[in-house]
Amino acid sequence: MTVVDQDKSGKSLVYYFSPSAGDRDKWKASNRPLARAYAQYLTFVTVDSAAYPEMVTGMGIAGGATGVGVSVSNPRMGQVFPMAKPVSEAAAVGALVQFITKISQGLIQPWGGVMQQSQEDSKSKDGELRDEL
Amino acid sequence: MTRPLITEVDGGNSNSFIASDDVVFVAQLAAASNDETKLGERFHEMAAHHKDQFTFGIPISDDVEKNLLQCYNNIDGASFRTTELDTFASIETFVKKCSDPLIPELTRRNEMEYLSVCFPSSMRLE
Repeated sequence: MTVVDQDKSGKSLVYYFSPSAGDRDKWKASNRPLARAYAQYLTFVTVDSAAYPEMVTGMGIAGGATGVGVSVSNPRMGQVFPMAKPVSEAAAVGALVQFITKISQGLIQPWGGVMQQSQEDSKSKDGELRDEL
Repeated sequence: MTRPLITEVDGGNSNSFIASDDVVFVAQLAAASNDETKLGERFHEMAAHHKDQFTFGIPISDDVEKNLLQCYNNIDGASFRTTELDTFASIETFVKKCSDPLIPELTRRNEMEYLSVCFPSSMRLE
C-alpha cells in the first residue's frame, strides 16, 4: 500500500476502527468533546474495518476486516500507536485521554510492526505491543 | 410544499430555525450602502449552490452596520461566525469549515485528506 502523506497541517490522527456503523456512531458521540478539545492538534476519524482491512492491520489493530480498536498516527514522524482495549466502555474516553497524553510526553514507544495473533494478549513481547498500560 | 431557498427568520422562531437542520447558515446583512461585499447576492448564490445540503436564513431585523455570516453545526454542537466575506472563495472556505464533520468517516472520497498509513518497515505477523 502506498504511504500517503496526508497531514499537511501537521496534525496527528486518531482512528477508530470498527465494522459496525452503529458502533462508530456511538464512538463519535462519546468522543466529540475530546475531538473538539484537541482539534488544534488532532483529527479524529472513524474507519469501517470491513472497507479498509489492510489499514486496520497497518495501524496495529488485530482482526482485519472485523478489527475494533483505536490507533494514533503521526504521519510526520511515520509513527503508529495502537491502543490497548480499555477495561470498560465507561473508561474508554478517559483511557484515550491518558493514551494521547502519554504519547505526547514520549512515554509510549511507537508500534514496531509486530502483530500479535491474540488480541487479548496484554503481555508484550520485547515491549513491542501495547506496553503503555 | 417546497422549502424556500432562504427563510426569513424573526425573533420568535430564530431558535427553532437554527435547530431545524444539521447545518444552518444565517446571514445578517448590512444596509445596502454598507454592503460593500455584496453579501446579499453571495448568500443567494451560496444557498442555491448548497440548497440540498444546508438550510439558509436571514433575520428580519434592522440593518446591521456590517455584514455577518453565522453557521450552526447542530451535529457537532458548534457555531462559527465570520465577517470575511469579500470573495466567493472566502465564503466557501467558511462553509467547509462549518459543515465538515468534527469526526469524519473515512471514505474513498476523502482518503487524500484523512488517510495516513505508515507501515513500520519491520511489520510482520507472529
